[in-house]
Amino acid sequence: MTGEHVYLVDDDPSVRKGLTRLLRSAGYEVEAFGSAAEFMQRPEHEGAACLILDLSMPALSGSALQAQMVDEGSTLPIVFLSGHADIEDSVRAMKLGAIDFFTKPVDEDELLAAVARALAGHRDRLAQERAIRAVQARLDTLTARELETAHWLITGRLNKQIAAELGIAEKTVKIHRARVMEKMGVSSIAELVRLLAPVGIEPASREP
Amino acid sequence: MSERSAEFETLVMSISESVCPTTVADVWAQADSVLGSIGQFLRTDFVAIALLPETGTDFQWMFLGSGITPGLADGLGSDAFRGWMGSQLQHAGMVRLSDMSVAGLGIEMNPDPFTGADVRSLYVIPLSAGGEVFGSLLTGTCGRVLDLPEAELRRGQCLGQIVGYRWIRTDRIERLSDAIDAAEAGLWSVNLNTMTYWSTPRAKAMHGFRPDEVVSFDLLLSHVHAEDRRGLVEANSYAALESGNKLRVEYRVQQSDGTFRWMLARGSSDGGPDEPVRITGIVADITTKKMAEEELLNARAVTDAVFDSVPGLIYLYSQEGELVRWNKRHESVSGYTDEELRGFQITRWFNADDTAKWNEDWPRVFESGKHSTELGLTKKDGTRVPYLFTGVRVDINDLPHMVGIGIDVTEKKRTESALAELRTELAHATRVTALGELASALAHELSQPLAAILSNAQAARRLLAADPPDLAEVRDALEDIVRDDKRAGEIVHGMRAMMARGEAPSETLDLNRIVGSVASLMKGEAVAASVPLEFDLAESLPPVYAGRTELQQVLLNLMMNAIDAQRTTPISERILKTQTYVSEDHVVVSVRDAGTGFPGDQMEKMFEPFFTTKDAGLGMGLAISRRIVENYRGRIWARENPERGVTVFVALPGKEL
Repeated sequence: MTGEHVYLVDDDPSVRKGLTRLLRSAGYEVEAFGSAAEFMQRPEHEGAACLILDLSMPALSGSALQAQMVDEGSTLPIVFLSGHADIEDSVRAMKLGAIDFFTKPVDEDELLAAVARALAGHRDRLAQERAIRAVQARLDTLTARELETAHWLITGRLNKQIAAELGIAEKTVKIHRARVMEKMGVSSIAELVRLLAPVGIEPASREP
Repeated sequence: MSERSAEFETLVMSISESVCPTTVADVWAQADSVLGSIGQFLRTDFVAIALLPETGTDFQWMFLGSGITPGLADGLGSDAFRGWMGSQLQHAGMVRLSDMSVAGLGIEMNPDPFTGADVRSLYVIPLSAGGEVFGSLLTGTCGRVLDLPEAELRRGQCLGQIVGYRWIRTDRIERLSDAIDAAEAGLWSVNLNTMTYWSTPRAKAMHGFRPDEVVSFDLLLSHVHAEDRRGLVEANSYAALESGNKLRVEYRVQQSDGTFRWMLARGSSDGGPDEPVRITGIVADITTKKMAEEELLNARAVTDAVFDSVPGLIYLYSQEGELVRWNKRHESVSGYTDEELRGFQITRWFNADDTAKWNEDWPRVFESGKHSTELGLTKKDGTRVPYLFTGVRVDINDLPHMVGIGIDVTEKKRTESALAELRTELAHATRVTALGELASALAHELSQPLAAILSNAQAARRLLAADPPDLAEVRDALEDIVRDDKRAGEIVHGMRAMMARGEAPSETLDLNRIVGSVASLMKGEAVAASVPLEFDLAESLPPVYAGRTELQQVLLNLMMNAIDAQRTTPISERILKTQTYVSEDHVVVSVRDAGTGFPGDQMEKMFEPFFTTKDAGLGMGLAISRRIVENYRGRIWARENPERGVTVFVALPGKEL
């Protein structure tokens, strides 16, 4: 599946059916589950998705599932639905990163907007993750000396200064620099800085 | 002859004057001289008078005059002679034996006193008064024959009668006086000519006079209570009008100590054919009787007053159902008159509605000895009043009767219905409170179908807008909308029914369905409290007959309690298990929890009003539940589970199909 995927967890079959129909009519792929446990068993899905989660369910409740997912580092965005408007529950859910919190019955505009927002967010998130993974892959091809050289380059040091820092000839620095630029696929230092920022490699804050 | 007649008249006068005995003792004292004077007149040698008692022919007294020898006295007093004399007087009248040597008595006496005394002539002359013989005069001669002519015999008879009658009367009056005296009464007589008052010593004492005091009628009146004088005078006046008029009068006489005593005087007037000359009678002290009568009257008055003042009916009925005695209250209560109530048939109090009940009640009074019942009493005007009747069997003259009281229970009924009203209100309040607690759960429950409906409707709109529109899917969505809407309606309806006040009519119910309807309402609450619901329902149950809402309320209450009781139970151990099954002819539903339970001694109390283990509980839930269940002839009880918590059972009679 490549389309926009929406998971739905609600113990009430009618609600499940109605919401599934609505989301499908809005063009989403919908996968519905009757309990948190069933949802946990779902097959892996590539691509952007979001979860519409009923707050109160027998056994494992919606908020318990959210807490568990946060613990596991899941980035799947959650839109909460609840039978009652409980401020305490909604605050807790929002604090744990929920996209939105609706009281049933929920209007399609609000729900679909939230779903769209969640999916977009997730899409961005996924794209970001993909980008980081690409940078990381290139970084992995650098030798230790080349990585050191890259670090000094984004800090704005000249070749001569880098040669002094590393105790090597300036000529050698030039070769490292050329290989870093080539391996990372950039043509300017500015480009390199931008590329390395998301993976946590930043200019040194102090004079080495 | 004229000389003899004059002699006779002189003797009569003399005897009449002298023979006025007042006591029997006087009679004996006079006997000798009186009889002697008679013998002298008749020129006989011996005279005796024998007197008969009031009844019988056996002579009782024999008064013997001079000239009677001891031997003759024995003979005349002997049984044989007296028997002979009696039969002679009865059959032959006068006996004339002028010459005893020619003709004997014809009776055997040994020794013969007449021969011994040489009696030659013997006359036995009957004495009578008012045609009745009361005695005889015996006279005769010894040693000589005396032929008394008829006229002489008549004169002797006359003299004997004067003397004998006086004697007999004296005796009788004396004995009468004794009898009256013994009866603690007195004799009295008023002389209407002189208005003097004669009476026996006792009668005088009774009126406050000395025995020897001379009392006039006026003096007598002065001792009589002022209020009673007129009555006494009138009674005497009436008696004085005509001979034979009777007198009966009660009056009070003042005693020397100032107190009054009641007297009863009875008498009648006698005297001439037209004008009575005196009134004679007896007088008795009736104070004791009068007081007893008064006491009795007072006691009766008190009893009647008590009976009549009782704010209810007091009655005595025969086993045939006839009113025998009743208090006055019957009249004011029923509108029937005293006359109409006499012999009133008990069944007339009841109308057709009560007939069946009455037919059961009535025999029970006589079988078990006592019984009480509530029936409507029909008044004369046809209106009915609720009454509580009691009946106790009492045998009068060996005939079974029923005695008892009837109490107007209108007020009691009113109180009862007011109480029932109050209970309904309380039940309503409890229900509303319970529903208040449930409100969020209900809102949650209602939000589900509403959410589904909205989603389906909006999906359908989208589907129709698509090109081409997916009509099959739209139809499915619409069907789902209809179904979910119905579900929402049921929830709303159930909620309204729960909130509704008043008693829903009883109907035939499937207990499983009741459990289902309540469970669906409870679901949200159970989820919120993390109590898993478990059901173990019998596949098919006989129906029960009860009010749907009330039964739902009972179950809701039990399930809410079960959830509340498990707040401190570890989540993994929480349970709310509802079971239905058949036990003999009852359908049972049990609700089991794993809660805190009740301390042992409180198991009994948990169904009592205002018993609660909850901080905010009213303590009415289980009490009302019990009332409801018992109202449908069911039973509610609780048992501690072996491991944890309590199971509450509700058993209702199963209805035969």
